[in-house]
Amino acid sequence: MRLDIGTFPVTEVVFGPKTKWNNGILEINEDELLAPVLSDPRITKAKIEIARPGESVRIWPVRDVIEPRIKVEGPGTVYPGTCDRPVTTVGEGVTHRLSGVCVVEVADIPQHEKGGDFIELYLDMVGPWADITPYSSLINICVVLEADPDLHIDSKNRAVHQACLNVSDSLAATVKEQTPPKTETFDLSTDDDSLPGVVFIPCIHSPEHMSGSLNTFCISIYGISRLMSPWILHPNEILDGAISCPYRTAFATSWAMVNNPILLELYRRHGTDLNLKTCIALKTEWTTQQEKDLMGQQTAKMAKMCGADGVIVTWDAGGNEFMEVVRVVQHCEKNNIKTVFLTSEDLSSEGVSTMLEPVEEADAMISTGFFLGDALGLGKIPAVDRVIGSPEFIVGALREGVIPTQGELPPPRRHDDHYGFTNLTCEES
Amino acid sequence: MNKKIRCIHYLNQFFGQVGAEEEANFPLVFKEGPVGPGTVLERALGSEGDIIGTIISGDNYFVENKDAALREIEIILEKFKPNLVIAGPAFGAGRYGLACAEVCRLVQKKGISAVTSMSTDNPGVIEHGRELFIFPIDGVTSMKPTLEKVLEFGKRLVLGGTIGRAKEEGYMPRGIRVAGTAKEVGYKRAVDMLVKKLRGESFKTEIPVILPNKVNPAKAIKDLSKAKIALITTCGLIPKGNPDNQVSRDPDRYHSYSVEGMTQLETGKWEAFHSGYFCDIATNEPNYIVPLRQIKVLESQNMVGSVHPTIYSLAGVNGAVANAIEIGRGLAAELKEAKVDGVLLTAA
Repeated sequence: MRLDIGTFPVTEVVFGPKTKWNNGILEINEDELLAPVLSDPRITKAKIEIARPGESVRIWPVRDVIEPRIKVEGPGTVYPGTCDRPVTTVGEGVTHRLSGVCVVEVADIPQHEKGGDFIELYLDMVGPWADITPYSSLINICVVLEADPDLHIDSKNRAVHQACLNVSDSLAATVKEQTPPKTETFDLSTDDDSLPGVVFIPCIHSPEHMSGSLNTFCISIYGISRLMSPWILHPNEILDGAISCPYRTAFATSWAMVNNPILLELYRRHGTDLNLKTCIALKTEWTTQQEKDLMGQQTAKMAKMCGADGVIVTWDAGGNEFMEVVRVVQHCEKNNIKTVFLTSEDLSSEGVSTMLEPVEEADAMISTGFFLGDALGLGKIPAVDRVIGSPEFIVGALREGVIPTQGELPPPRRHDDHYGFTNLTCEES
Repeated sequence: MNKKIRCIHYLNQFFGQVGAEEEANFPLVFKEGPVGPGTVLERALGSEGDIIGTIISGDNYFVENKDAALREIEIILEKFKPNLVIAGPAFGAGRYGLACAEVCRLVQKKGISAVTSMSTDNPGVIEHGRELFIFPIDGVTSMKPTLEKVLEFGKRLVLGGTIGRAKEEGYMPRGIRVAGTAKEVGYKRAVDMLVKKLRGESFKTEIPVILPNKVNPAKAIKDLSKAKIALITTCGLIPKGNPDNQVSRDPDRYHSYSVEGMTQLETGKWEAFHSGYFCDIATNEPNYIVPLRQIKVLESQNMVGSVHPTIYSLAGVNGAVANAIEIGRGLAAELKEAKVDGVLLTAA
């Protein structure tokens, strides 16, 4: 499976008569881009606003961040399966992407309405919060959306996400027929037998049990968010968006998966330091200890069968989920697979573990810092000049308070850099 | 000028100028003023305070009579009322290092500032490093600069100055996790660590594995028909409408509800509020998460002595271990007070 990814950098986004990419300038016609969005009866309002790096802008509430990509050659569609897109296996042929730019999905619609879960993420383009999120260095094309309030929550979710995929597809279509300034080839067909085999194991949340629904919109594999046995995915499938849609952190986004820095780094070191064998995606938030043990064992077994001498394990969020994630670490080590676990840490107290369940086998961990926004030591996030999205910001564990989005805010509840984009960590004191 | 620092210095028989190993059984004494290395402290203190006295104990004496020695020190602390105790430096000496650590622990327990110094691999560090401010020291030549550093730090402890992080101040890390930044981004560090691990090269994990303390289970209840049983849930049971503003995650307390006179949790009067599972099932049948109805049946059949009239609830989601320990301690104390014999704990 060979995938050539052609990159078209975007250095400026301007509104203009026609949506087109030319030599780094992305011109967009808002009416043209939004025509298919507004023709969807589920969408009641849609507009596009631009936020540029360094601008004093805050975007709220942010559901997802998407990188415009398009298949040029080879089967399937990028971000397959989600919102009824084809589920044809992706990862082969040629894909074009716009770099330096992203589509931000802005709507106050939670993924489901159970258990007090809601959207908690805002993005800043400047300031201490911007400094530790990768999107602040991109030009953010924000699609601010409202859906018909009478719709079922699942329909609202699909409507606003599809709207953003439409915009993303249209933007990427501008470079479909053009020659990319830069192309990178992703091909694992040759192995160096003298090098160790490595498997990347991203563990991905499933909302199935919490929402009580098999069809809840959330981070998905080929559009499926429910709990399943572990998936074996070719790394190229992930680069074409086989894992997409958001969960509740700044780093569980469609953008973060296709730009997954661990996967890209493993790819770049393929044939030099290691042989990248495959990816195994484990859906998490199983409910019984029995299931958690089973998933840990099966994931490790699959990794071994795929030729893993070493693995990197990551996850996205949640204490419940952590239980099967550490089981994966544990069972990989028990299967003689050298394991590195990249994770954030919980609140600290003298002499007490910041890991919910510490296991002895986790002897090689990378810390990406505290996952709670409040624990990062950023203090209050300063006021901004302009807000994209909702002017009202909700605060409090029970969402009891409303304050102006534009003003000084606490950091978003979670940071959770679960793919190591930043250099945040924790240290002993 | 008002002398603010009243410091007591702890030394072993060797540095206390009593004698070498042959004096290791030398019993604990208190001498007024500085002794041996204490003169360095006295000079460095200048007009800011005094070394009001020196406690000297033989290494063996302290280790073999630890409780008595600590009691003697407690009396000295009460009598002379220091606001700072400096122990050592103990260098690599194991018995001396352990004694310094034990002295500092006692001193801290009395609400008095304490600082010590020893080599990083001293058993005193291994046993009690997480509880104390310990400055590393190598050779005897570093005695003076180390003591001066220890004193400067101790003064700030007493006077309420800012205490920086371990790497800024120079004390040994105490296992407190603080936010920091690494030279490289996380993904690079992860792949680098994996490659090193695969090659058998040395690497340093970034998160220590701190295994939980073992908790010995209480003795089994001999006769359930005489036992008082309490119901606790971490499934997030709330009275309908959430009058107490329970949170659905990150709890920092538990909530108590009276079920006196009730034979079950009536559907419609309770809800589940928990951001980790599908709550509708429990909202429709609250006895599913707090089995009051079932245990009341057992009580009526005299299979259970009595049911504690208060139930306890919180949503066990995202609870940091540190918070969970505090919540558990408080709840256990309340149950003990209420003479509860056993608990049925339902967790989500």
